[in-house]
Amino acid sequence: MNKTFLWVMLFLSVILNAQSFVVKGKVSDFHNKTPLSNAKVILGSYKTFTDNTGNFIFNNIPKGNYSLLVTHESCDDYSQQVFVDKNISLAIEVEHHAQELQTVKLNNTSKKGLVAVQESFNKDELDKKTTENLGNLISSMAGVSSLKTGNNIAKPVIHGLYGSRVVIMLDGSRLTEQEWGVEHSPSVDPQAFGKVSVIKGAGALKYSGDAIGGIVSLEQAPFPKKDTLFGNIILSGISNGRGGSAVAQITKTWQNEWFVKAQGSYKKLGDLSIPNTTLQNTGAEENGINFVFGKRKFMNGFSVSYNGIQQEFGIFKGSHLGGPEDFYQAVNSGNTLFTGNFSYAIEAPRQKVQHHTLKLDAYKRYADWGKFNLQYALQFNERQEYDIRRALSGNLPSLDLRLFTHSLKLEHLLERENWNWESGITAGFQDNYSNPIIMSRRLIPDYYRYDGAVYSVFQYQWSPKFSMEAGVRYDYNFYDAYKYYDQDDWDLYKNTYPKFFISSDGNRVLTRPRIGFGNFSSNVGFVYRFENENLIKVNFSRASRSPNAAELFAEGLHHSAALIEKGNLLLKQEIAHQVHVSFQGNMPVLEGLKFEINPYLMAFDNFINQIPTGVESSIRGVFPVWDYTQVQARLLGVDASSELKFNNSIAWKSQFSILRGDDLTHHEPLILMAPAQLRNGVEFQFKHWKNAYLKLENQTVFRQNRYPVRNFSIDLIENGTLVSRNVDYSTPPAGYSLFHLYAGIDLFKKLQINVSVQNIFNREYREYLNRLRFFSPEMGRNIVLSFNYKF
Amino acid sequence: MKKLIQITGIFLLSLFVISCNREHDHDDHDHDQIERVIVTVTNKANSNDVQTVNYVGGVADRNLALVAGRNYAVSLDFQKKTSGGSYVSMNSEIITDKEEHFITYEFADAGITILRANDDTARADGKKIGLKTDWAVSSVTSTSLVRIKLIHAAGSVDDQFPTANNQLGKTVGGETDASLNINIR
Repeated sequence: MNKTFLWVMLFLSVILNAQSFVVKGKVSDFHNKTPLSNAKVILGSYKTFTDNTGNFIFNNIPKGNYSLLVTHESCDDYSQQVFVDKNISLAIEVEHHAQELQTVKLNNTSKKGLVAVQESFNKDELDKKTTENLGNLISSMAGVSSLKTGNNIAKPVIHGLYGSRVVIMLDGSRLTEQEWGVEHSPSVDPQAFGKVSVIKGAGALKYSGDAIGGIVSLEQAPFPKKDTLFGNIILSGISNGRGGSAVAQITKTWQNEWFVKAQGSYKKLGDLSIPNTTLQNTGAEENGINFVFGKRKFMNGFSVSYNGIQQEFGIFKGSHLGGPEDFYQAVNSGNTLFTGNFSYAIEAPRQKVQHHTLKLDAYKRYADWGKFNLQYALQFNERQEYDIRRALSGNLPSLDLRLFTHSLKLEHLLERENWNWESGITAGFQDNYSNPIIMSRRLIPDYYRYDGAVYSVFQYQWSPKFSMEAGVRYDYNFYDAYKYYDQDDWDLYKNTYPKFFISSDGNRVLTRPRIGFGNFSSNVGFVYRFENENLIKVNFSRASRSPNAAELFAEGLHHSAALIEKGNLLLKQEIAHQVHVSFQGNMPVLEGLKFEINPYLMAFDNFINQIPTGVESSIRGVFPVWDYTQVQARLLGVDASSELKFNNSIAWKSQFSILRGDDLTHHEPLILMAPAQLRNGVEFQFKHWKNAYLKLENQTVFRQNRYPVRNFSIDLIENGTLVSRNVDYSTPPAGYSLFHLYAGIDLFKKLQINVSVQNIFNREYREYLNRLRFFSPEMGRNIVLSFNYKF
Repeated sequence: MKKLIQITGIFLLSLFVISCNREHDHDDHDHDQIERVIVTVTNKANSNDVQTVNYVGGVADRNLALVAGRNYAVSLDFQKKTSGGSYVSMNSEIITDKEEHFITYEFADAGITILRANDDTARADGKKIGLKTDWAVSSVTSTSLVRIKLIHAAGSVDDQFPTANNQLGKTVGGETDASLNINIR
């Protein structure tokens, strides 16, 4: 009997074992194939967890049909049906980035580290500065300033570089406008976006190979993946200009990842005040609208967006000159002319700008091939400048430039556990049209421009402490223009470009310059992290920039400068070799000291620079002529910032920047280099008491002592005698020190009030980087009171 | 979605049509810019003694021959160029916009006083523009010069400067639309 029982048991065990199987597998991240540890794996009624390598195993699973469920923190649940009739090995990939941001990542995932130096304002900070234009907004960052024409028109300057050397990106699409004009402010409403970042220096090759100064990136705030409706309304009163602004925004999102957002803004200012009076014709009016909708799932998605802005700026009457003698009189009079009689009217001289962007984005992810992104953008920019004209043509602009730009790009992102590889190809077509209705000479001729680029950026994380990046990019730009020259000017080019000649009529020569530029850019950088969140970043880059339309073709009078500028058809690409270093550290001083030091060096070949080359007589007088030329140049500087926390509520923040720019060819300093600046502020934050904050800040700008001498002589009749006088166009103004105050509190749960007082003591000062500094001081005290209602 | 694509396509096509409309072969003249000034100087004692100076591109085509002790009637004709290449007078525009215009005179190394002519155009504030003036010459040297300026949109003007008997004129602010330097011999 016992033997029989044993044989039966043995037989049964064989049968039973033949009906049990092993189910094993590996769980990893779909995105970058990283194994996921501690993921919960449920097979029917069986349960286990993955180990450190992402592996799991179920032994002795009977034959049958089972539901498999895998769950992990920050992942979407994964489920499938599994029929077990043999040993099975499963490879399971889950979406680890279920909360992926809507925003465009500037240098791919933060896991690999960023090698570029950058600073940002988020939505909360933007809401506190709702009345500022982009140039003035970012000028509070170390190393960033603004080149102004009055106070309403401000171009961002990064490390002394501006215009075509600073690229502005709107949600991954390059803003294409007439950025070559020093009197042209970026046509963008920062309030339409949720984050504004500045990347200093070349190196973000994904976006541009010619952003030698850096990139200003504006991005939408991320859209949450849930059913919700939210927004805010900000109403502001502005004392200087006796004006105000309104911003309203509403966003609707759904759990199925659809979203729609609409935003609008309006700002109106009358004549701006300097200490003790107002400046005639310095008002402004702006309105903007932003609309975006789409669906953004992890695997695929799309968005459609529209941005529109219209701006009108009065140009200070006292700055509009006919000739060098007017300039001399204005500079030497000792008084600011055209003051008082406050008005909201905006008359000639004035600028009117509109810019519209329509953008279509779509992307799709593949398990093994990564993510593909396709983007198309259509932009229309129109700039009209109204001078003081005679009645017959009084309502006609003196300048009416229309720019259409089409751009298309295809990007590919491949991510793995230790590396990212991003590549892309872009194409663009630009059509610049100078409307002949102006009945005036074209400052910039009609042209078509064709652009193409390919790039590839590779990021690798060697270890948790060390990561690196390398990138290459090639851009090609081709101009096809129609331009009239005076015979004297054409004589400079006719031997080099005889094929451009079309016809001549008297002294005027019609040409068709067709000229292309190829640009190769590259960067290599690394990040090394020490203990206690200290790190060092080093980035080497080579950036190459084609001359812009003004540098090649400009011909006209700059009224506020009383000079004639002329383009140069013989210009070559501008090449910059740069190194940017960033030390970021923490020290256990009081409640913590954070600091960052960024030294940088830029060496240029063929730096495009304007220098006076002679004079030209006209019916208006004798004007200095500034031509575009190319020189060897070098920029060297340091930005530094620190934050010392005394306790959880009080902090001391400091910021310093200094820059030295040299024209090595002519052995003189470069013009319009930002003077050294120091900011110190003490900030009180009471997060537990209605989020109250108070910040008192001192801004000290030192006198720029390094500048090229660009003065010119004019002949005046004084006391019945012809005398020669020097027009000092060069000497920078004195340094200055200002105090500002910022404060705010949550009045109620949804209503926040912010107040800022800039130039508290109404100090009179002049800014070296303001082209109109000769004619008036800077704005006086400005008090802004804002109410921000969030819902 | 289909409709959106159709509308977008039409929009894009229209942009290409707009962008293709060009007038490349049309050179632009500055229709507001003064290109020539004719200065006519008549000896008040002899109406046949007339001198005409053409001022183009910053250069006078001759010197003015003025004799000490004589009085002259001087008139200015500001001209612009048409698209056909000929010159036309802009004086009517200047007179229409008289509130925005004013002419000043300066003399170097010369004893000359001027009065704004009785039939010169007056602005609403009673001040005379200076298109027509009477010159009384007391002395001329080898380096005598007159500078005539047309100022547009000055902040303020004074036609009694330096005195009521010598109305050279003065402005504060404004834009110089024309500045003529003519030698007097």
